[in-house]
Amino acid sequence: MKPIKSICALPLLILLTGCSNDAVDKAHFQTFKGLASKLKKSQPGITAEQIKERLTPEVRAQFGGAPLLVATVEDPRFSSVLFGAGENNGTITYFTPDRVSLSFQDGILVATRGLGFDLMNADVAETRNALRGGAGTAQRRHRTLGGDNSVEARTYDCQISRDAQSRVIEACSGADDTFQNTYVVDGKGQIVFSRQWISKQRGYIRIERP
Amino acid sequence: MTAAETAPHPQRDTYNVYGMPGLIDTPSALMAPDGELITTYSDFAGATRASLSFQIAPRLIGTFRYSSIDQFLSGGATTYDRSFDLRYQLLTEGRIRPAVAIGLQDFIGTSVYSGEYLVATKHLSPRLAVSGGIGWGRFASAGGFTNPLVSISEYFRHRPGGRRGSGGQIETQKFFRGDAALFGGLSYAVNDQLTLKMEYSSDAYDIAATTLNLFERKSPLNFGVDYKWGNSIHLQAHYLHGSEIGFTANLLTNPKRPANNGGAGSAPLPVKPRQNGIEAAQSWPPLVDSSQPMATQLTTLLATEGIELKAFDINGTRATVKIANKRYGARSEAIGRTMRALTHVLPHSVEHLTVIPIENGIPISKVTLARSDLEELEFAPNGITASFDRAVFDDAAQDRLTYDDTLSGLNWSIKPYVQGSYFDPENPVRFDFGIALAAQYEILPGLFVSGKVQQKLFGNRDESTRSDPSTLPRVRSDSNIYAREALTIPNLSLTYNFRPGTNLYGRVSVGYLESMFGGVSTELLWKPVRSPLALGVEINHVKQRDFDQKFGFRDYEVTMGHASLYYDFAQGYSAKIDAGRYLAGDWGGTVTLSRRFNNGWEVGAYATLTDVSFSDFGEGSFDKGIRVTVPLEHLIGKPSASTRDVLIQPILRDGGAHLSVKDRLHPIVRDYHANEMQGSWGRFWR
Repeated sequence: MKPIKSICALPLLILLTGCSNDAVDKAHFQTFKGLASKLKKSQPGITAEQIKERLTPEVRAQFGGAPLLVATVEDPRFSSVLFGAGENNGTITYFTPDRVSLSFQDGILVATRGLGFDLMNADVAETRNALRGGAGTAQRRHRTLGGDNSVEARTYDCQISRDAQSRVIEACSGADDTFQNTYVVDGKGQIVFSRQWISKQRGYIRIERP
Repeated sequence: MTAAETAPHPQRDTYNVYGMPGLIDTPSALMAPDGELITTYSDFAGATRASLSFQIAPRLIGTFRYSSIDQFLSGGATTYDRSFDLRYQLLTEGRIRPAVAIGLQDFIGTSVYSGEYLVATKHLSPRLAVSGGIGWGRFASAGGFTNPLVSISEYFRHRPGGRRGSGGQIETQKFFRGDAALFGGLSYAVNDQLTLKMEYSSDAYDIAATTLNLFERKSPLNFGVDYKWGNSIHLQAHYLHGSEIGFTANLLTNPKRPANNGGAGSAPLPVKPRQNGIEAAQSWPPLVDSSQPMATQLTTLLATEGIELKAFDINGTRATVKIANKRYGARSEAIGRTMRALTHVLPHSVEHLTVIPIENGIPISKVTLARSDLEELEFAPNGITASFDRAVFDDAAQDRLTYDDTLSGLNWSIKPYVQGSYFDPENPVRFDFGIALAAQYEILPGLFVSGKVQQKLFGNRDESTRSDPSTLPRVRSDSNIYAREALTIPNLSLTYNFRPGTNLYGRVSVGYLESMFGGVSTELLWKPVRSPLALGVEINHVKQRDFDQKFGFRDYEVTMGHASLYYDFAQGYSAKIDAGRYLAGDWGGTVTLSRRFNNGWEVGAYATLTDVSFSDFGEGSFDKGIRVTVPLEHLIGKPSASTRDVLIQPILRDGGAHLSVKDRLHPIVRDYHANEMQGSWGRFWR
């Protein structure tokens, strides 16, 4: 998130850009935009609470009855609504109106796209099992892309336990990083709120069902 | 290895005034991080040095340097000097063993700084590093003693003076000869930002101190402080030789660093599987109006991805699309996004998805994946590797689809431009700024008319009055005369790209091919889809254009061209060898060695030797240069297929000059072939 520093690393002259008639470049994401006309872009500064207030039944109807989430990236802080756009073999993918996507397995984040420093995929089979039991140990494996597009895989050993407010805590440590995910699970075993780690540079994201 | 051996050493990060890892004047045995590009500007006692260093491989670093020394020439004129260094790390640092490196400084240029060294560096603690070495040439100009190599051979006793011919040759006859001297020093990292340095320098600065009296060398001891500002900038101050203050700034970048903002850009469409999960009572909103024809739906979906649908065909269980990728420097990302879009529109019966990328009107390759593999691997932990392994790469020369290819029509752009001329002693850096209107129209598949009009707004390239004598036809040495015209047509040509057969690619260009030459250029390339090897032939007949770069020609014309061999070694290293005839009618060859990173960064160096004698070539002896290619997407953090090229050509002369025709085939073709795409296949799923 420090564009100036990276750009400084090269002569500015190579950054010259201009304008063109490239129709493809100008085509916006009309389909998604149409769906989300009332909630255009996640305006900077809008909070998760404000988004939830705006999700009236009429607005929900515009999403065709798709399931909705409200998510907040912590640093830099921004919030957006997301709507379910598809499911593949147990992985559900949600999109923001400006086309960031988050994918979940049983409410556990397994992929992000469009945020930058994205999580390409995550093997969370053991975490899913341990979470059902509410305690235990689990090993996760995350894949991200390096600056030269190389695939970087990291393994984390995690302890799953309940805290005093009966939230489920997943404390993970790997060779380079440690992080702690928090899940609030309702009576039916559904995750209704969570705070999950994406990557070292992107940090945490909070996800709730409005 | 223990943790201590692999721990990053703070001193790894500090550079000397020559832009190499080291202390102040003296080198160390350390290396920069692999791939690091270090730009250094250093100023001290009338000597200004600008260096570009590249960590070519983990144990090999090279530098190109352009320096000026005040009053160096008779009559008090400033001299400008170009030099090249190489350093190889013979031994990496171990728990007890020091790092040991051997280096050649200024081994090609005019030898103002020429010297060789063998140096060892050891970290006594993670913060404190000590270096010591023995040097020859410039490194033995103070405190010299009889060369210990004399015990091997008397050959080493005396170092020949002067230089060969007109400079620019490898000065092997000097290496490790003449007196030797010892040098060394310490660096101490106070914290992550601040490093203190002290050294004993065996550089006498003979000319600067003694002959020119630019400063007084009172002491061999130098002191320095290095302040690291963020991740990319080092600011250094030095107290040198007991009398002088000097300054150095280093600007660091590395192609392996994360793209700006980690590389964002809009998320791809998810795979739409043919069977939803058992609990899929949920109705997912359709992303596209399914009442429209499939091709229309696909065009809409792909347009949002920056991809143009050129043709579409379903044959039984097989669907094939031709696409033009307008957005993704990582070609695999264009293929991956197209395939995911296909899952949203195709009937369930279609199992095999084939994508044929089109560039410049011709199909470049054919990538096929099973739809069930896409469904299975989208979120699979091994999905990146497995999807590459299961993808089938084929040649696309013979594909005829039932739907006609759509033409790309008219594309135009208005962009500002910058043009530089470098290394003229009167003014080493000159720039022109202006605006350029470019347009391209596809008449038939592969047949393009394209042109560019350029208007200079301001600049000083026209101020060069230099006219070097040349015994060759003046094919490049009049570039400053060409630069005097403000409104020009840099190119206006008709180009036909075609596929003459399997693994073959052809190009014919006719017209004003580049700003100084027009005529006919023909090219044939052989490049199998999965091969690291490619062979090409290019034959051109060109005539020199008028200085005004409009429609007229001058008298000089030549038939020239090359046979080329391209080979991609592992890990991005590649070589290109051209043999043939150059613009001035001289015969010879060019060797280009490059390192290309999987995100499109490329750093390469080339040298051309022809039958023009070194003395006829003039200053520099032969043509050589360095090219750095920067992918725009790495800087802006959004997908972009644009790149910027920076060519550093120390001396532009008439020998060994290539024609600068655009749309050469190999760079376009290789990008969509298996070798290139494998390295960036992670982007298939982004």
